[in-house]
Amino acid sequence: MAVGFMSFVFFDSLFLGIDKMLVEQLMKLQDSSIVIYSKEYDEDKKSYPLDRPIKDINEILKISSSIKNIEALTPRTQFLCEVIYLGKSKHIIATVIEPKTDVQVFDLHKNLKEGKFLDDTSALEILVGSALAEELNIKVKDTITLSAYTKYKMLNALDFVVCGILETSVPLINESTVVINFKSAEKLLDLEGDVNSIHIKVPWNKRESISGYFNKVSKIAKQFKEGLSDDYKVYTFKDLYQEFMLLMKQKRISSFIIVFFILLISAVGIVNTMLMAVYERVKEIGIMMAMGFKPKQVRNLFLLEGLIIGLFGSALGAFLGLLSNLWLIYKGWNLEIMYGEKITGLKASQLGMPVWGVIYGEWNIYAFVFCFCFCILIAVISAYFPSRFASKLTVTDCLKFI
Amino acid sequence: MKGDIILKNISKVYHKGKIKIFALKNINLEIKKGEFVVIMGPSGSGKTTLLNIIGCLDIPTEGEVIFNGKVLKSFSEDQLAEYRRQNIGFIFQSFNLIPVLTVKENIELPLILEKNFSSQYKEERIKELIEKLGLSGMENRFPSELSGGQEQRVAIARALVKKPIVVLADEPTANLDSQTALEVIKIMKEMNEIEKTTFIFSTHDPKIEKFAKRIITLKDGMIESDIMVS
Repeated sequence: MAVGFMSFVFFDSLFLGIDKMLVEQLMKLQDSSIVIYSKEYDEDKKSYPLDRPIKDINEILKISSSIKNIEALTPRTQFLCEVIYLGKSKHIIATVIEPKTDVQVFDLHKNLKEGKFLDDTSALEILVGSALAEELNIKVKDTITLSAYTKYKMLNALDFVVCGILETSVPLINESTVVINFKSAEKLLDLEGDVNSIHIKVPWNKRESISGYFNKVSKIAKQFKEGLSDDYKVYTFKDLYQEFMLLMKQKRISSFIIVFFILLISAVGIVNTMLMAVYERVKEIGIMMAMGFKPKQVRNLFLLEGLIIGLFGSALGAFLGLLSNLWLIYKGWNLEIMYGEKITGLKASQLGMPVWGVIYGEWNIYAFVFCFCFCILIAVISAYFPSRFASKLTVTDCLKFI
Repeated sequence: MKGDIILKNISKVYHKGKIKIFALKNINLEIKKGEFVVIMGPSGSGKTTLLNIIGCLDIPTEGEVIFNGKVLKSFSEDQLAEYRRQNIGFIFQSFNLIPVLTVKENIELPLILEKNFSSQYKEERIKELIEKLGLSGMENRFPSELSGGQEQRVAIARALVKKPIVVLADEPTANLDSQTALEVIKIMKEMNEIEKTTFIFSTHDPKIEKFAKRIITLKDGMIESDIMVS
């Protein structure tokens, strides 16, 4: 029972931790906590238009300076383009960043496989996703061509020198992303200082739950919505990943069912223990009934025993669960050490892992409360049926029982 | 009289498939309070069934048991348990001590349900029986650490601890050597005289006959003889 309890809270914490890491990674690599677009851009954002920029960045900066809990913000612009290298080409989504502020909001710079990150001054340098680089056989210092439509719908093409290869845990970035700075974008796209989106980072404390963080972000997003005119659209990470969040919710249900099975298996153990306890003591039950114990009193004795077993098992399970959670939350589970390239010879993406590195757990007090009540309930229920059986035996049957 | 047991037309039938087996046939019996009754008879004569019916561990197919003027047939399961608690002590052939309890705890077991006795009285009563039955110094031993005779003495003490009106003993000496068996019977006889408790026990050991005040012999579920010994 205690092991079942511990396993339940451990895996619950692990799954919650993985969910948090997934959301965190998407935020740190793709969209940040809050994204602001112009209203016109938002209406047609799937085609990545360049002629619908944010009208007044200062308006956003002014509001952000009055809001606490904003760590940093950065502009970005995305556009459709074609990468051409040695006769091979691929249509992809490119991202324009401001390297100096981008590193304060996003973690792209921490996901460099080789080469260096962009800076604000160098022109015509480019970062390429690892899978894309592999597909087109691109290496650092190679010169590749980007072809795209400018803001004025004119087709333009420029050569870029590959300064780094990006390898992230987000497949989309690896497979179909290139990144350039605004200085290069001006030359390629005639942006004239326009940006399409502002990405705002709200710090996520290490022990903060997804829901707790979301509430914090929602409040800040609300302040932006109230402060900005109707020309802007403000999205939180939850709005952007609605489908993903829904999927995550469903995944939580399925992982709950899996973990619940662990508890059920331990419940079978409890039922078996109680049945054995009753069968072993049928003769004793007979003696007690001969001495004047009423059937109800015999039943109550076994229920009490079940309750005590349940309480002890739950208390021990809670303690073990607490220890395992403390380890998972504060120390973390280092996947690299256990399943890293040095051990398995496989890369994270080849292992199909959605997250990589050190996985940290999440506290979930409800898992503890649920397990505690469930274990006691199971122990009492599993004591009830054999005790009912025992109390219905006749004294002579009990005494003959071997 | 208070404490008398009357059995009227008691029959007990067991069914083995379609075959009826009469364990007891038309038994009529009256046992006065304080009697020391030995029920004798060969195996299968119905001794255990008769004791079980007197002790309300089994229900007769026909007839009725009257105790203190009350017909036990009309009692519910809980009332029968209460009747056993207040009036009957049992001694079994295989002692039936609870192995995980010590000698003292085994003797104390029937007192768990007694709310009218003070804990001081309970302590004194247990101590008294331990001394009377020669169990001093063994209070904290477990049944597995005792000899057969000692185990049966603990069982006797357990049966007597709440001062029942009747003690029913089903072949209490069957698992003991002849010397120990005589000792156990002597103790029972002594308790019968000191505490005026009615003792009804079954045996097929002829050496025990000489201690009885009354010998009832059963054969094929019927009373063959009922002799008062002077």
